[in-house]
This record gives sequence, structure tokens and C-alpha cells, in this order.
Amino acid sequence: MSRVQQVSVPRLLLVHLLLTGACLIATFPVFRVIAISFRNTDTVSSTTRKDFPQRGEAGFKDYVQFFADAVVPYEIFSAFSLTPKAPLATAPTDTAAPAPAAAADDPFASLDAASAVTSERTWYSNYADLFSKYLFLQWIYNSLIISLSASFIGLLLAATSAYAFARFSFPGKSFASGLLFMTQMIPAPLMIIPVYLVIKSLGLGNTYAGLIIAMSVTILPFSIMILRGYFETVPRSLEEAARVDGCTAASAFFRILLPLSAPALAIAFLFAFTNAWSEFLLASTLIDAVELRPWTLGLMEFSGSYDARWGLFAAGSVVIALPSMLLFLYSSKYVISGLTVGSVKG
Amino acid sequence: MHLSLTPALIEVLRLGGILLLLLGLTFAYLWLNYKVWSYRLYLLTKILLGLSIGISLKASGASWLTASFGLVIPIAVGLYFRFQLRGRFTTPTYFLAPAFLGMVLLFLYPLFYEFFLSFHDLSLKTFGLWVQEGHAPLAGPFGLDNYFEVFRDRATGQSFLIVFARTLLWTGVNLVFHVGLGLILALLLNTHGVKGVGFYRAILTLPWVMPQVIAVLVWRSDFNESVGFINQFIHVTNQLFSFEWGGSVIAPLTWIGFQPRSWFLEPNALFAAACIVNIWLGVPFMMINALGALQSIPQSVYEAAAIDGASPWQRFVHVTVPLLKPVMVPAAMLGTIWTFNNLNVIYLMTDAGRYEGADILVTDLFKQSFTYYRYGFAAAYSFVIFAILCLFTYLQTRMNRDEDIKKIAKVKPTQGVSDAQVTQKSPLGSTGVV
Repeated sequence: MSRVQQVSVPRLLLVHLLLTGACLIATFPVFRVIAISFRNTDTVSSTTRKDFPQRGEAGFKDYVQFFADAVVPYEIFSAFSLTPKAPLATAPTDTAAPAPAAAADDPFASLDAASAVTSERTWYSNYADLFSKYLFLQWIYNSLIISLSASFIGLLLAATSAYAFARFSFPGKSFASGLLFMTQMIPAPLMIIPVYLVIKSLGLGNTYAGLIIAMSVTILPFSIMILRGYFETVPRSLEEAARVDGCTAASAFFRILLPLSAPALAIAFLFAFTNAWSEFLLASTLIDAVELRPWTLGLMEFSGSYDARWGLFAAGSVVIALPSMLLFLYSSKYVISGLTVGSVKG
Repeated sequence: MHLSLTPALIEVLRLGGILLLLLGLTFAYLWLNYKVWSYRLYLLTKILLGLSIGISLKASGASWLTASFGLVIPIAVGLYFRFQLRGRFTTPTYFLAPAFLGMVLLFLYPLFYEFFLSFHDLSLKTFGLWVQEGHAPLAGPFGLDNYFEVFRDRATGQSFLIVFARTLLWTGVNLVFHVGLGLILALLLNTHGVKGVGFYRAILTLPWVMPQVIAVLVWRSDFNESVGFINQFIHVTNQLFSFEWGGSVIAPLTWIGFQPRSWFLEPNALFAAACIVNIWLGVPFMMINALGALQSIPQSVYEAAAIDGASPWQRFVHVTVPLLKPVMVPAAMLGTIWTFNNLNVIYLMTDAGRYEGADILVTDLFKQSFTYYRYGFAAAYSFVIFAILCLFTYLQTRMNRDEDIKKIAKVKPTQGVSDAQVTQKSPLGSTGVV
């Protein structure tokens, strides 16, 4: 087979160079957050060690050093090096503010008191604090429970209604699908107050169940769209054959169509799960109790502008983001094919 | 730290049980309706049922809207069964009912509720009345004052037009960069002979894969004025590219605004920072879409074009771009809506609205309702935003349709065939997202 395009080495080098640059920009915050998570300064400063030299004095090494400072967690290396240095810094911020009016109803009073105790900091202190002084594990668990069950319920509802949309005609169908598309355009803050009122009046305020129901319905429209698009590409004849063999419509759906559309289901589940996993608006209105929070609210608490604990925040981010990113990288092939999944001809 | 695992599980199980029960009730309700829809007294019973539900809701202190919702729903169901379904369409009805119930409860009812609210003066002043008696005074003589106020009196001190213009700018800038950079990256990845495409693609999708909250907050920490990386980077880069001339230091990059800033205190800088973050977040989505479309273009089309003597640029303009269009237009449209309605990035970048001056319509709406507690006003505001988006989408779809019709009328049959093939293969178009 003749190739029209010639492979030229300089051009390939240029392409690789550009792609590497793009990759650096894309991964920069990841390395950055990992580096911060091992620092003990509670700030994000990358030049804690020394100031950058003045103009004219800076050499190539200084520039390399500057970037390395930003993204390399030196604390790990110094912890494992043979000559242990003096501890870089001890927790500086919390000792200064001993929370003057620690009221009885302040849920963070005990936590504040606990974090005010200055102790020897090592490279893993942020991570240790995260799990020993804060309810971080509980928050992750809450998020997991909420987003798993919300996406499961949402997907079940979406699949059945997508089937109805894809295979049957019924009065008001075009109206309903138009309505589904319209829901994509509703600004998010519009729904918060009424959804809060509905959930509250159902007696589900400040519970997992209320958040799960609210989220699963929020997920619905987009999932219906994805699944409907896929169902329409699966040939009707398969189900018709099953119907001829004596299946009911329901069992044809559950036994024939659902197993066949596993890829689309996986994609819809992934979208739903990520939506629910990083949701914070609904959670911040529906959930009051500290021990019911999802991790998003916890991390936002760490990164407040007046009382930022960037070390803790970064450690928490690493704990959350790395597993989900690895999972995605593992499944990225399917995710990408899932976006094009509609084109698969059964 | 103790960890309580069981309460959540118990609650989820209980929720599952309740939902199953609800499902059973829904099916029983449908079954009953299918059974009795043809009876003579069916509609009358439905109307009576609706009336009794509505009146009892109103008597128990619900708002007018809730009561009328309770009144209308049974009657609507009765009418639908009597005049539309007429005993047919059993299967789709059963399949749709559970989702429909959820949508009515948590989409339709809230929507109507907000619509109802938008005509009332509900703020902190009248909130007590609302809670106790279930009604608030109408806003103005016809209840339209909230809608007028959207364009007039604003607690944030920024006029509607400014915020709207900023939103358009935000959407435009983000869209251009998303599509442009995404397309460039996809073209680079699709270059013939590049090794390790899978690796690059995996790395480049990272921003999309990272939870948005984390990504934005990390960027925010780096935009910090004194300790963030961005300012230090700018400082160092300026030092690198500056030179001394005539006794004074000249840094050419500062002429185009490349200098350390207090990113959160200068409104324009804050807006620029939010744009940068959102561009970083949104490029991978467009890249993936463009790459999928590029890979579905058969090599033979390019070969044919090359044999006919087309230069690379001509091949790009006359082959790649038209074949990319059916994928990229729906994706860009979806991206527009998402960007227009993107609350997260600006909300988190401004630290829950503490820093002012970079608000787009949605975050301004959020601020009006949750910082200034002007619920009625915020409801009207959100419907204005909703109307703008609907109008935009309508125009967009109509423009596309007109263009398609023109194209079909104009092009030769061979090209039409290849167009149709690619349309079938378009990722988003055929998944029915748009």
C-alpha cells in the first residue's frame, strides 16, 4: 500500500516536542499537588528554601532548581537520605489562633484543638493528619456510598426509559425528549432551593437517602440521552426474534438488549459516577452533619481563603485523585470508544 | 478516628426497599388506570380526586403551587389515559413511569416552583411569612417586578449587561481555545508515524479525568499572590527575558501584560485566571472528540486528494475540516451550553463568591440567591438565563439546519455520500447527545 504522506524526522521531532510540552502543562498541577502534599508549611510556596537569585546572577542551574522546587517532593528524599537534616518547619499557623470562642455547638472545636497541638512533622504528616485528626476516611466512604448508589439508581431508571424512547412510540414522545434536552440548559442554582424543599418535605433532609435521590434524578437526562443513542443502533431484529420465541418486552429488554449494550452502560455509569463523585452544590445544601459530608465539602473546607491548609488539602487531593485518575487511565480506551459508541453497528 | 460504616449501608438498603415499594405502587397505579380508563365515571373520579388532594394540601398549609400541582396531576393523568393512551402503549408506559415519577418530583415540580417563586417577593424580609403561612406577597402589581429588577436593581452592583457581556466573553474565549487547542492536539496525535499515541493521549486526558473540584482548587492555590507558583514563574520568566539597556531594566513581556498580579483582587486578572483554568480543564474533551473523528476519516480520501494534486493545506481545508464538522459542531454546541452554565470553575476560583468582579450569569445568580437571599429575584433571574440559553440553542439548531439544507441542495452526489457516511460515524451526533 502506498503512503502519500512521507515521514520526515524533523517534523516528527517537532510533533513530539509539542506533544511533550502539552503533556507537561496537562500534568503540571498533578505533580504540583503531590509535591505540596509532602510539605509541612501549610502554604504552597515553592521557594521556601531560598529566594531566586537576582537578574544576571541566575544560571541555568537556578532555573532547573526553580522548576524542580515546584514539583519535586524533596521531603521524601531528605527523609530517606543518610544524613538527616533538621526538620524544615513545624506547623506554624494553628498555634497562633487558639479559636477564642469555641462554642459548644462548633462541630470543629475538638478538631481545632487537636490540630493546634504542635508536634514533630515528618514528610507524611499531612497524610497522617488527614486520617487521624479529620474524618477524611469517613468522607470518602460517604462519597463512595452516595455516588455508587445514586449512579446505580439513576442508570436503572435511565436504561428503562431510554428503552421506551428508543423502541416505542407513545403520545407525547417528542415533547418528552425535548424536555429532556431542555434540562441540560437549566442553570444549576435554579434547582437547589426547590429540590432542598422537596427533599426536606419528604423527611430526607440531612440524610444519605435524600442526597442519593436528588443526585440520581440529576444524572437522569444525560444518561437517557447516551443510552437512547446506543439502543437505537442495536438492531431491532434481535429483540423481535426473542419476542417471537416467547419473551415479553421486559425480558427481551433485560435479557437481550441490556447485555448487548454493556459498553454504553459502562460509559453512562462512568459519567454518572464522576458527576456524583465530584458534586458539591447539592451536598452543601442538603447535608449539615460533619460525619455525613462527601469529600468535596471536606476539601473545600481545607482550602478556604482565610484558613487555608494547603498541605492537608493537597494530601487529600492526592488520596482522592490518584485512584480515580488511575482508574480512568486504565479505562480510557473504553471511555473514548464509549464517546463514539453510537457508531458501532451490532 | 472512628469510622461509622453501618449507618450508611442500612440507610441505602432502606432507601432501596422504599424505592422498590414505590416502584410496586407505581406499577399498581398504572395497572389500575389501565383497568378502569374506559369506565364512564373515570374522568369524574379523577377530577374529584384531584380536587380533594389539592384542597387537602392547601388546608394543610402548602403553598398555592403545591396545591395546584396536587390538583392538576391526577386530572392530567386521567386525561392522558382517557384521550391519548386509550389502553394502548402498555410497555413504554411501564418502562417510563419510574423515571417519569422522579423527573416530575425533582425536575418539573422544582421548575414550576421556581417559576411560581419568580413572581413573588421572597427575600429575608418575607421569609418568615413564607415559612409560616406558605405565601409571600406578589412582587409588584402584576408580580413582574422581579423580572424588571433583573435588568435594573442589583445587589452586586454590576449591571445585567456587564455580567451578560462577560458571560459571552467567557463562553467565546473558552470555546475558541477548547476547539482550537483540542483540534491542534488531535491533529498532532493523528500525525502519520508518531509513536506512543496511546501514552500521549492518556496523559493529555488527565485534566478531564481529574475531579474538577480538585483541579480548580489546585490552580487556585497556585494563583495565590505571594506564595503561588504562577507569580513566581512570571517573575522568573520576566527576569530571563529582560535585558539592561541605557541603565534601566527592560522586560518586553511585561508590555503585553505578562507580570505578577494579585490575581484575586484585580477583577480582570481573576477573570483571566478563571479562563485559563477552564481552558485547561476543557481541552481534552474536544481533543478526544476531534481525534475520534480524525481517526474515522479513511486514509483513501487523503490519497485521492493528494493524487488530484491538493497541497497539505488544501487537504486540511477541503477534506479534514468538512469531515470533522459533523462531530465538532454538536460537541462545540454542548461545550457552549456547559461553559455558559459552568458554575464550578468560577465559584471555586472566587472562593465561593468572596472575590468579586469575575462573575458570569450563573455565579451571579448563585450569589444573588445564597449570599443576598433574594430568592424571588433569583428565580426570575434564572428564568431569564434559561430563556437566553433556549434562544441561543434554537438559533443554533436552525442555523445548522439551514446550512445542511443548502449543502444538500448544492453538493454533488459523491461528496454527499461521503458526508452521510461520516455523519453516521459522528460520536456525539449519533449518541444523540444533541
